[in-house]
Amino acid sequence: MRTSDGFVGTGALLRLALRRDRVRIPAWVLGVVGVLYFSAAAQAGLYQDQAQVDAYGRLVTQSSATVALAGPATGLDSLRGIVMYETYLTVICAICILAVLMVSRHTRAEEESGRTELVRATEVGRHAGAAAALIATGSTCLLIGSGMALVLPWTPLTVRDSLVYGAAMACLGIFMAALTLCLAQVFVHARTVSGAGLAVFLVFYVVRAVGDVRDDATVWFSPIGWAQATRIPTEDRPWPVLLLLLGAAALLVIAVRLAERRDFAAGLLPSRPGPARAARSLSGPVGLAWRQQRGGLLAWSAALGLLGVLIGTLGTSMQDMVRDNPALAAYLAATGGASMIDAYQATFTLVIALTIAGYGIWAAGRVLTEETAGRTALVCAGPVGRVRSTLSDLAVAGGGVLVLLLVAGLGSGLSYATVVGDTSQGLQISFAPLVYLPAIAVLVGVLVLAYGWAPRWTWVGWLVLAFEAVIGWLGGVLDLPEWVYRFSVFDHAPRYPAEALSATPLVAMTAVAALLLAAGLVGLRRRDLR
Amino acid sequence: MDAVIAVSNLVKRFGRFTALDRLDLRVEAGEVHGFLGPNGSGKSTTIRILLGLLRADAGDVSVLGRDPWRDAVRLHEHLAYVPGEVSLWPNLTGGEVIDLLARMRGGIDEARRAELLERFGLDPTKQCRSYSKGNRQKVALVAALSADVELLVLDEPTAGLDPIMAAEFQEVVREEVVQGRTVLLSSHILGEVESLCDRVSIIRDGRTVLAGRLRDLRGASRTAVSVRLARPDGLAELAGLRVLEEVDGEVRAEVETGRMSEVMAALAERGIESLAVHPPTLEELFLRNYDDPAGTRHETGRLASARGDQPA
Repeated sequence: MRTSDGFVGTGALLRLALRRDRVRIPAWVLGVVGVLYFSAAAQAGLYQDQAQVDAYGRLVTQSSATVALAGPATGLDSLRGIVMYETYLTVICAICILAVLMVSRHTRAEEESGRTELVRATEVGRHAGAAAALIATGSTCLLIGSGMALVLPWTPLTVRDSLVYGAAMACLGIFMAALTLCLAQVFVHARTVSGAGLAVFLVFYVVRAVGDVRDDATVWFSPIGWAQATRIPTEDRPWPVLLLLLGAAALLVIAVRLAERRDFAAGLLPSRPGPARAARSLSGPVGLAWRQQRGGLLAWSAALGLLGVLIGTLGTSMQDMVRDNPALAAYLAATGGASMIDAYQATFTLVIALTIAGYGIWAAGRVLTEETAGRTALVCAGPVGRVRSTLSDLAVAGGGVLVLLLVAGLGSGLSYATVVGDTSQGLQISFAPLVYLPAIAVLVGVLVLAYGWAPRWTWVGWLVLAFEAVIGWLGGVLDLPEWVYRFSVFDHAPRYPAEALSATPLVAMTAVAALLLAAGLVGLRRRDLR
Repeated sequence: MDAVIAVSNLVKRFGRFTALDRLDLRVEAGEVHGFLGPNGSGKSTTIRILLGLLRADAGDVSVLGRDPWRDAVRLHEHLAYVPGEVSLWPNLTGGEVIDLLARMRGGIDEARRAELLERFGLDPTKQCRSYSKGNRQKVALVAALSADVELLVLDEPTAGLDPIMAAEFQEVVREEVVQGRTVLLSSHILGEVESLCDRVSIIRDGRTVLAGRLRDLRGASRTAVSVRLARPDGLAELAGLRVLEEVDGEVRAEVETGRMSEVMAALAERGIESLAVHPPTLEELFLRNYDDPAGTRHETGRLASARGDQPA
């Protein structure tokens, strides 16, 4: 078969992919561009004069931790530079994760499910599916890039900044999509493909971080380094973006060659055999839930522990900066805290808690995934009640949340204690995230209530989390009416260590969570199991 | 002993759709009971009610003397289930799933587990995401068949198996029955049902249309004959005989239940040159109940008598 024949039917498959993702694509585009716009716009309000901007620049150049996290510390003498620096991490992560997951979903996942077999038996070429997946994903990345170019001129960035920024990010996404396409030829299972894609992304990020901290050519070994080598707003050289496109083209050629070498549904690497017998720990619903969640928990622990350490080491330099910038101080101390460092820690604790709430919703949401897949029926056809089965999943999810709160807290507390030498403050920071355990439990409770009575509505758990994230993240900037805040569970938790611990809201939240959980389980006992 | 499964007037609605409409089912201890019906007729819904996964809207349901909705957990200690569409945990191996399901039940018969793996030719070290439909079914079968239970509920267990494995499955089910187990077997493979089952229930649109011993059902149904006669005149007016077609003097017809000798005598008068009589196969019984909607009423009336024949 000639390679050109392999692309017959690409148009039809592209329409199919776009139709399947007709909600997902707009959600990603609006989500990424929206978050970017709001956080860029929010930056503008924090710096009143050049002295404050300079203070920020000083802080960043002193702290290799933020350089590692965000990118090259260039152009930080202007608000434009600060906006870029503050938003890099979010956009890069979002667009790379989008590219990896979307390509894997439209190629290997389809092939694994057997749907590709149905399609390929018709007049459709070998490469059509991959081409359609790449075009759909690339278009989504371009939409995000265009959105950035359209919206960011309304922030401190100029039109040209926005154009180059958008182009760099879109091309980075396309590069990652082409890379994932290669991985999809190598591995048999969609989960392995997306796992490998995200791992490669992490490696790229670390290589880039090392290069930026050492300020040497190491960054050029990472495509993320290429995207940031545009160095807006200081040098403004768009040509490294071309490197990304050339790299993507090279990867595409490799993907086509690899695809021509392999059989349908096979990979270049075979899947390894696993154990023939179950370990002793895998003997009941709790063991099963643990087995399902442990991989995710491990990855989250590593990420949040690292984030905690970064936040902890940032603490000292932040103190100096906050002293120089009353607006930033006011933002951090929105709830009226004691010392600035406490306010800063309290804010980051809230961000960490919101992230961990996301884990909680994801892990607890597995009860629905398992039921829809028909696996709950398999468990409940044995002598295991549905309430016990569900509680096992929830208990493991709750344990995971607890572990993550501790890991993130200890990460930041211990590193703070080491850097500053203040053990008592370090200890305080270590256990601060635990304050949010009841609030997270309430969110999970809402999910369980929906799952018990109307499983189709289980997604309201995510809706509530999104509300909490908006209030927690942007609540200080958005200036919403007072009553809106009253609906936020997280807003009722004491902003420890900026605020004193008070038992009443915590006990009340725990009680509400318990009630929601119990009500959900009552519903579960009464309804049909899918 | 009471029936292992006793269902009467079972009704289940999903919103405005009535999935089960006064369905009856009775399975006696120690028998293999065939549960037949076309796609969407309510077999799996019935089975899921028997397991207590779905809640009945009306009617009486008793499995092993218990109410499956109220008493699901204790009931499940005594039964094992193979779902029609087996979905397993993609990141566990087949061996792990078998052990997990067995341990949740309280233990596993090691020898039986090893033997069944061998007989079904299943590799337990593969991750479930890489198993084909047939292999996923084998995992569920090994888990269910190595359990020490009184009742096996099998929902189209051989739909994904090759003929050799399907034969092996029949062999294993026979062994289970010798052990004193009861089996409810839902299946589309009529040959399998014919060779395994003592009694069958055929349902249509959520209602039982035919139930009884296979032998009685055959006796109660029209018998097909093909005959060559020296003087084939007046056959159309012959009571008890329905002529289907006539090709080159060979007449294919059906004889009504209970009128065989009367019809034979009339045929003999016309000089029989050759004669073949076929009792209806299960397939014919099955198709007759579904093929022509007009025939349904006719057949249902006859079913009542077939049902009357069965041991209560």
